[in-house]
Amino acid sequence: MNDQPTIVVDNISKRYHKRAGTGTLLSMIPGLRPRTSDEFWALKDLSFEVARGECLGIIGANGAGKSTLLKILSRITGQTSGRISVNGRVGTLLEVGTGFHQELTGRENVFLSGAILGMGRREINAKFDEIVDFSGIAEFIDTPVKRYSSGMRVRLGFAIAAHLDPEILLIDEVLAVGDAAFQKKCLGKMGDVTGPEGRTILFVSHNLGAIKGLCTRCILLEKGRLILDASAGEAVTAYLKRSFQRSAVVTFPDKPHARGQIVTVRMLDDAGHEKIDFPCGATPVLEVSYLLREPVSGCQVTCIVTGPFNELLFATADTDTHSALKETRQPGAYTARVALPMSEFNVGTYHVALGLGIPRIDKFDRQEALAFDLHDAGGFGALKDGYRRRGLLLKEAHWETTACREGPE
Amino acid sequence: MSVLSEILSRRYLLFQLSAREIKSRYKQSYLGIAWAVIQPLALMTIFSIIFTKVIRIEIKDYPYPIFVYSGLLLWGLFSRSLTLLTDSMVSNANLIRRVYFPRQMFLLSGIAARLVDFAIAFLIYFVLMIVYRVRPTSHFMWSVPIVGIVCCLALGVSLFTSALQVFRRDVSAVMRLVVQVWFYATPIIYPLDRVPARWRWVSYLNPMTGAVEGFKDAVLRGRTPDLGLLGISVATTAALLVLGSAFFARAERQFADLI
Repeated sequence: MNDQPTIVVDNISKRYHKRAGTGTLLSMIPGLRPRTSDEFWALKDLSFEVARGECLGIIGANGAGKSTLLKILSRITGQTSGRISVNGRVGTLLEVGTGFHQELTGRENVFLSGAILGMGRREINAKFDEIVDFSGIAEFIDTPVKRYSSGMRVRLGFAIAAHLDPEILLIDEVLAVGDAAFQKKCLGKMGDVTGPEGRTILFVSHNLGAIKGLCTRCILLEKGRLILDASAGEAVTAYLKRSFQRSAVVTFPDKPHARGQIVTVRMLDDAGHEKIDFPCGATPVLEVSYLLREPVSGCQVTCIVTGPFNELLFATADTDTHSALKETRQPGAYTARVALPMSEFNVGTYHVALGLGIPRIDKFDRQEALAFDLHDAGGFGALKDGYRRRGLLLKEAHWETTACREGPE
Repeated sequence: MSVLSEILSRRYLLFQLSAREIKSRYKQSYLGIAWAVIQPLALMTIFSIIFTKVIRIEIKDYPYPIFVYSGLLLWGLFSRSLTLLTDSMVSNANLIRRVYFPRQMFLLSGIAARLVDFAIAFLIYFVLMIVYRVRPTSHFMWSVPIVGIVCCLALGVSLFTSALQVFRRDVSAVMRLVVQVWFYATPIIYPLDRVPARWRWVSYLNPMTGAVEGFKDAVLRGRTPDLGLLGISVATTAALLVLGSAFFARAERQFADLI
């Protein structure tokens, strides 16, 4: 019985119609109907199995089909073709605080949300105190949830989620919110119970560190297809390699309908030579060529640098240096250069994502642009005394040691 | 696992969803649950003024207000259920996109919430019985199965309308119109025997006719309902439930994608 896979996914595909539900009576007239195909395959011919007690990570770029897969497994939506079999009670966590009702109190919402997520009356009653304790908001438990801060909502939602006890748990990206300490507490509680006798977890996340820490196995999706089924470490490395191009010059396809777009990105050294491999301590220069098709004000070029496991290191924007750039920019081609302050970072592969748009209003273009390497330059932190200094940063700290004449009393 | 056994195994969720429906409706309102009573009382007053002062309509044996209230009471349960349920998939879009349980549970919890309103409005009927000196008889018990039929009828219709509403939002607007026309096609504000004989067959085909007439027989006139008329209601209801369940089950697979 235990050897049987808990989840079998057999050749499933899912088709969406991009314009579904948008047609009106008028569009029934043949001439008015758009001719282009509106079919879109979110998943295509996917097959895999998950054994009992396994923790499977699911990674892939946005739109790769990760969430669609979870929705099919949890029966929220049906697949277009193929078969799935799921043996066991399924708990689905696609958001924190599923089913919270604004007008109801925290206490009422624990019971409501708990029931929605699959708990029974006795189970919630038994765990209620523990849930409230875990959330750390006991004094507000009889306040309507609409008066909660977003942090409090998240904590209460997480506390309920962490006390779910299904045989199979499907988790989507929910760990992207909430403060780090609390996330860790939840991950710990969820991870506690996997293993041969424990629960099976399917875990979608962009947090590649969490994937590596929690999952024994990981599948990588790309445009709806499964392209790798391997150990978490292997899959994460493969994903980063595929999504960030390892080339000093990257040119992006034309987007004629965007208000603006990123055209080319180049990675340069101090002397202006194209390069992707730098010694630790160097300051790589990023050159972005972009295009605006109409006058825009308030727009900025943003650059996000992430570390070897996609940890966000820092974000920077062209308007940080020259706030005058917030004024209207005329249509045309631009080139921007920025020296990336990488001098204190350790050996590893780093990734650059670029954005062009008006913050929080309009995103013209966004590209996971390229990756570059920092290698051992023989200075501090280099392979010395038989091992290399660990950590994201290379920080030389100053120590002072005094020898004490008198021994401990 | 069949939908029915799945719903049964999650009856605590059904309870919670119904409680949410009831609690959320009356939170942050002054009159709260009293609104369940105000609506039928207001309609009763309006129709009583129109049909006793403006246009005279003769009701044998019973004062007009209690006659019309008994009909409005049952109609209120039906029509308010229907409008609530038709919108229930779309108004729960957030849940439908994020978690799975049988979607029929939204319909059942909506009915449960409306039954609570109905029970409260029924209390006023007892007051009217005292005021107009109407004695309850043993036939009063017929009201129980009749209320059951009306709930099932609302459920049967909304299995279609709530699913169609997901595909096209026009459905809810159409239903509001249908409910209005249906109201006048049902002998609520007028007695059935005032319908001209050659049009009466239309009334007979209306499944709400048997229910409303039967309800008035049970709680007002103190006699056994016309079982032939009631049979039409039961047959229509059963057919709608069977066909509606099949239709809903097919449509449900697409809810999360379209809603």
